[in-house]
Amino acid sequence: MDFRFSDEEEKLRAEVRDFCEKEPPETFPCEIEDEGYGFGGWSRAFTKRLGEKGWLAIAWPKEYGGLGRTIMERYVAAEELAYHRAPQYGHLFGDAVGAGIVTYGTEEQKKEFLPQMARGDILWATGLSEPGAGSDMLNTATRAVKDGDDYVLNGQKIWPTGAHLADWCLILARTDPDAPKARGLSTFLIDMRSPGVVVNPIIDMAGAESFAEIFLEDVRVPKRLLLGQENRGLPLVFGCLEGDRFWGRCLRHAGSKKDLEELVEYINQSSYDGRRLKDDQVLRDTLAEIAIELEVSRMLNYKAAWLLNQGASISWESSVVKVFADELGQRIAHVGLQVLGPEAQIRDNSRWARLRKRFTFLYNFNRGLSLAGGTSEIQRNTIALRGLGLPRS
Amino acid sequence: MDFSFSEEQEMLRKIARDFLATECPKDLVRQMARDEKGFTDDLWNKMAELGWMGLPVPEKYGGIEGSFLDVVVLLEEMGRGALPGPFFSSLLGTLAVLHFGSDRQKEDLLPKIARGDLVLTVAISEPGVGYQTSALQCEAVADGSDYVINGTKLLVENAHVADVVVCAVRTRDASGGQGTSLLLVDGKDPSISLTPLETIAGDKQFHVNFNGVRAPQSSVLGEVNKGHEYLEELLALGAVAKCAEMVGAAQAAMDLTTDYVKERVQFDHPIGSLQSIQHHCANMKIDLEGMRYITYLAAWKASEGLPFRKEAAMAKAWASDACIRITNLAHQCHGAIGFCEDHDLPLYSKRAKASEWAFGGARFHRQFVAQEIGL
Ligand SMILES: Cc1cc2nc3c(=O)[nH]c(=O)nc-3n(C[C@H](O)[C@H](O)[C@H](O)COP(=O)(O)OP(=O)(O)OC[C@H]3O[C@@H](n4cnc5c(N)ncnc54)[C@H](O)[C@@H]3O)c2cc1C
Repeated sequence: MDFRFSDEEEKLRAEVRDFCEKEPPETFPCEIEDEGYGFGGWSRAFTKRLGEKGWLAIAWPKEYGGLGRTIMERYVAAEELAYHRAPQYGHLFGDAVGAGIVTYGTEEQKKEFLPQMARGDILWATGLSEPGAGSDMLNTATRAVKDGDDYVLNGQKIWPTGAHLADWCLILARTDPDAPKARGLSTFLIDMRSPGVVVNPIIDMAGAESFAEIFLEDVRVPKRLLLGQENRGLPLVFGCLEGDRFWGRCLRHAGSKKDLEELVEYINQSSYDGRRLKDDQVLRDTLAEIAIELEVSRMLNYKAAWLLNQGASISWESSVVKVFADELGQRIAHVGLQVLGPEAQIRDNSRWARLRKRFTFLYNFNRGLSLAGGTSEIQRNTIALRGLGLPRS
Repeated sequence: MDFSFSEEQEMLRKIARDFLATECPKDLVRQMARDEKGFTDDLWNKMAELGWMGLPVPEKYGGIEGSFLDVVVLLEEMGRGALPGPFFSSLLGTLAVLHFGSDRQKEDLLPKIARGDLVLTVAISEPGVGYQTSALQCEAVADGSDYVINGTKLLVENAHVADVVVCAVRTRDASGGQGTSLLLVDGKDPSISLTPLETIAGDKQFHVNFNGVRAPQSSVLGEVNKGHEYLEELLALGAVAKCAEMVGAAQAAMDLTTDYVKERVQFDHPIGSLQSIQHHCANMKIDLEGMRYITYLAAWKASEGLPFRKEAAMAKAWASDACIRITNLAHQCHGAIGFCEDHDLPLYSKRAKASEWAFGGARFHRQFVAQEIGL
């Protein structure tokens, strides 16, 4: 047992820290605000800058534009960036696709996509959900029909994060309607500029355009853009999602560290109803509990990262990471607003306006955390079935 | 980063698990909860043969010189096996001697401890005082070359079999110096009176009166009046050790529950296929994972000699609550069968309550954490 990071990992962390000091992440423009997943906002400019540093593909093979280093090093870099509230949304969230191409892609696909992704030249969305296929991905209705050297896609995707900003999208579609539901699905890499693709952003309840809907009308996709084998899309997607659940949530403790610090600062300096907040024992207890839960979250994240680093699978472990991080994020937002009090509703110009605005936004947005990427109920199903071996219903 | 235990630690775990499965069946555990003494010499001696009492003791004193993490592995298995008896309370006394004792005290006590010939316990809490060491009342006043101890200690574990009591007292010297100190007191001193307490978990805890007990100056552990610092460290070690035991107990409750819900059939299906039950189990698993790694973090830091008080407080706060949540859900999943006195589950749920309070409950530790985060 050893919870230290290696010298190489610490060295990389120091480099990242140094970078964040010289090029403060908050100076890069964001297309989507930090929504509280732990990985900051969505910023093409920042992603591009990380690409120049080689930090988008730390653990990918060198021949495809990566640095050929370990997953733990990649994790450490992401964690350090998250401490600095750097906007990693654009590349981390869509990272499932990169993992999918590394694992399932043809040589041609790897050469075509990975180096571009490593540079931050192209950003991805993942189009899995549909109006009739949310948790029940098997119900995917979007059709892909072979036609000569192409597939022709028709259907509708809904909720893909950043699809209106992305260049490419992973699409799950049904290639064999006669096969059992699970065996007729395939995944495609779709250029968002293809004729027949229509994207409309959707405004979420926090007021942000964070996700979108995609209509596919006779979209021709050349065969070479089929990812993995035909009709074997489902295991591929599940495989990618395992990593996605992890990378999309594994920075909770780092991303929320400053939130906690700012709340502590606010409490130490504020009064309400004529009483100093820092004398409020209930508040102290609650804040301490959040600090402890962040530490628990950190250890759960490290455990999964350590497993991934050894090439192990993290099916139920990533669900533990996700459920814990998402529900903790919701508690933090809730506690934040408890601390800030009724005045947090007001868009004012006081010294604490920014803090209030952030927590009010997080409070709204965090309702989505336990839905996006598979709901908390679905994660608990996974933990019960895979982690504990309970029988299927 | 390495979340795995060493080969030796895995070996220790396996030996402990097998040993406790055969030598400490649950019927014995239940019997011992009703028994006045609370453990058997046979079991104690066999544990001594395995060298467990000497696990943290240096080789030169006849011990195994294991790390604190090794001890944590063993405690986890003891928690899993619901081991009765004074191992834990004696271990805490042992740690006090190891960490703060003089060479002479170590030479005198550790070899006997390692052989299993000497049982220790620790007396800290008092009526109305938990672990807020500045509020302790029990007093030791210098008188010639002795200290004379007067006062009451509450919830002292296994005092009835303790040869040595590590006692936290307020000391007053002839020169006017005062502070908190730890004294090694003869557990069989006639001026000590014991009243056994009936407790929730059936462990053996006592109300201990010190009625003018004389202890020589040489029985002061470490430096006199420096006891506050020692106590803080000892309590932190105790908290982490208790967390390890709780991780084992929570794992046992989890295993009992998953086994049961796979077997128990209602409405023609195992209840483990029902989502309400699955989600109860998933919640237990999430809490268990959380408990485990926050405990290991604190234990590892302590083992490496790194500052670990904050981690210990975090671990104890979290584990205290999580262990209760886990055993509560375990009961819900078991239905009425788990509500029976002779079922194994209550062994764990009752201990979860006792453990929650031992070395400070969740709110106590969160007060400390609140300070640590700058409040
Ligand atoms: C912010 C955000 C971002 C998203 N980003 C993307 C994206 O990038 N790409 C993408 O493809 N999708 C995305 N989604 C969609 C997301 O994956 C789905 O919302 C999610 O899978 C749930 O589907 P649903 O909304 O249709 O809810 P439903 O599946 O209809 O679920 C409704 C309720 O029923 C419960 N339920 C359903 N099935 C079960 C079951 N078997 N057991 C127990 N309870 C069940 C759910 O847990 C939930 O509480 C995003 C969603 C949000 C909110």
